[in-house]
Amino acid sequence: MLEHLHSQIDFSGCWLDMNEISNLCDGPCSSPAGPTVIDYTHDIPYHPGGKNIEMVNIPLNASHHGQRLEAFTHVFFGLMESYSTYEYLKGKGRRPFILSRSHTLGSSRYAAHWTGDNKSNFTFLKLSIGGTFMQNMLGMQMVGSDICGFGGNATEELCARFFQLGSLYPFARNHNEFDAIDQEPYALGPVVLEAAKKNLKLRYSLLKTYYREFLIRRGVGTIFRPLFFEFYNDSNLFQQEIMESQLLIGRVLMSAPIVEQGQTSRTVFFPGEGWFDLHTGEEYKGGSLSKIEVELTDAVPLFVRKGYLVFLQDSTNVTKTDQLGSTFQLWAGCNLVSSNATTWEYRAIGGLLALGDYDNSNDVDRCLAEECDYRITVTLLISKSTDSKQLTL
Amino acid sequence: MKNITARYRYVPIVEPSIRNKQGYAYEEGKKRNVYIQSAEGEDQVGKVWAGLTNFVDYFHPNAT
Repeated sequence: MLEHLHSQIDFSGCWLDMNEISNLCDGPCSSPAGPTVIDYTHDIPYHPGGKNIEMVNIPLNASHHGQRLEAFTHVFFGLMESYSTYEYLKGKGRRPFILSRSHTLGSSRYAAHWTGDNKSNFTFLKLSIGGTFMQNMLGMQMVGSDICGFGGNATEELCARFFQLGSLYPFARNHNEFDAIDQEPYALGPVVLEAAKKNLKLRYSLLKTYYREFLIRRGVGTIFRPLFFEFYNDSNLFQQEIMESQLLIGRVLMSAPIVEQGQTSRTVFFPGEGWFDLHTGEEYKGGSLSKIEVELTDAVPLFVRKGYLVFLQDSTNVTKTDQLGSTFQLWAGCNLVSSNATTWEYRAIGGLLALGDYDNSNDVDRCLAEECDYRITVTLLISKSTDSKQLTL
Repeated sequence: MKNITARYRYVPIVEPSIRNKQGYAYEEGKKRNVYIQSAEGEDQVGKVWAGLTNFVDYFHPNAT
């Protein structure tokens, strides 16, 4: 049936909504309900919340292809729709982008996900960090919450803060319900517009780093993750405030966005050996707590781990996948590894994909099949001598 | 409309619910016999944004 639409518009993905399957009838629409073959009390021992298990669902005795009952296939429907849609679009010769509201284990091979109908308030802004962590832990790495919130009216302050955090979600999208006031980047005034521009540009400049994170993990592990996943011996990171409001992108980037209403500054805990502010270069010692200021129009706080590399690109030149292979800047968070009276050795490590054409499916598949992540070590050796000043890279 | 996708990516929203007994999509699904079945052995009827609907069964190999 997709073929009919595709013959008119050459679409490159599908956004699969309402596929839990949502049904406003709470089971059968006919009244009274038809005969059931499911004894809920025996066949389905777990009732989430003690509510009617057919609430906003099709009847559990409905059947799918091959006599499979809805009661036993419910959680797989989103996966099956994602799979079928992916396979159809792959046949059109493109790497499809499928976005699905329902997913289960295995879905991330075919689909991305958003965290469903959130609300335009600060509670949901903060919850989106844990929500994105959780989806990553479930194997769904390409995920994010609706920026500015879906239900209800967004404010200038909320929307600016949402653009700051949301630009770091693996899947970043502003999405709104029909009845709420407009919340496009330009709809809420110059402050939100400035926040959106600055933070989305930051995101685009980091796409090469994100892309590598996705490729090297091959669908396994987490990308948007809690700090204790990396620094698991540091018990400070189990403090609720840190767990709920600081995050890592991969192993190298850390953020501490403002997620509380009325705040323009916050404290940040810096685990490990230390961090550099990506925007200013300022260094923060490992184990320290610092207060940082973040205005509504600022870029989201982002820190580079000491001893590691980040790849940055001109945001105006990476609006297409094939541009990810073009020129880039290497941002090195150099760590002093040894020194004596006359020499200082600094080091930063990272990885770079041996991938020229990022838009070529065959190249990407080859990169996935073989080891194509090349380890880079930047060593700065500074020697002091009487007759010459020498810098070795 | 075909030309739009040369420069832009187009991602339409798709729902598994198809408006009951009306229009091209319903007829196409009926022809392929890909709707989820009720316990009574008929196309399961539900209610979504389009009003009364049937549901495409993505367990069926002909669903897309």
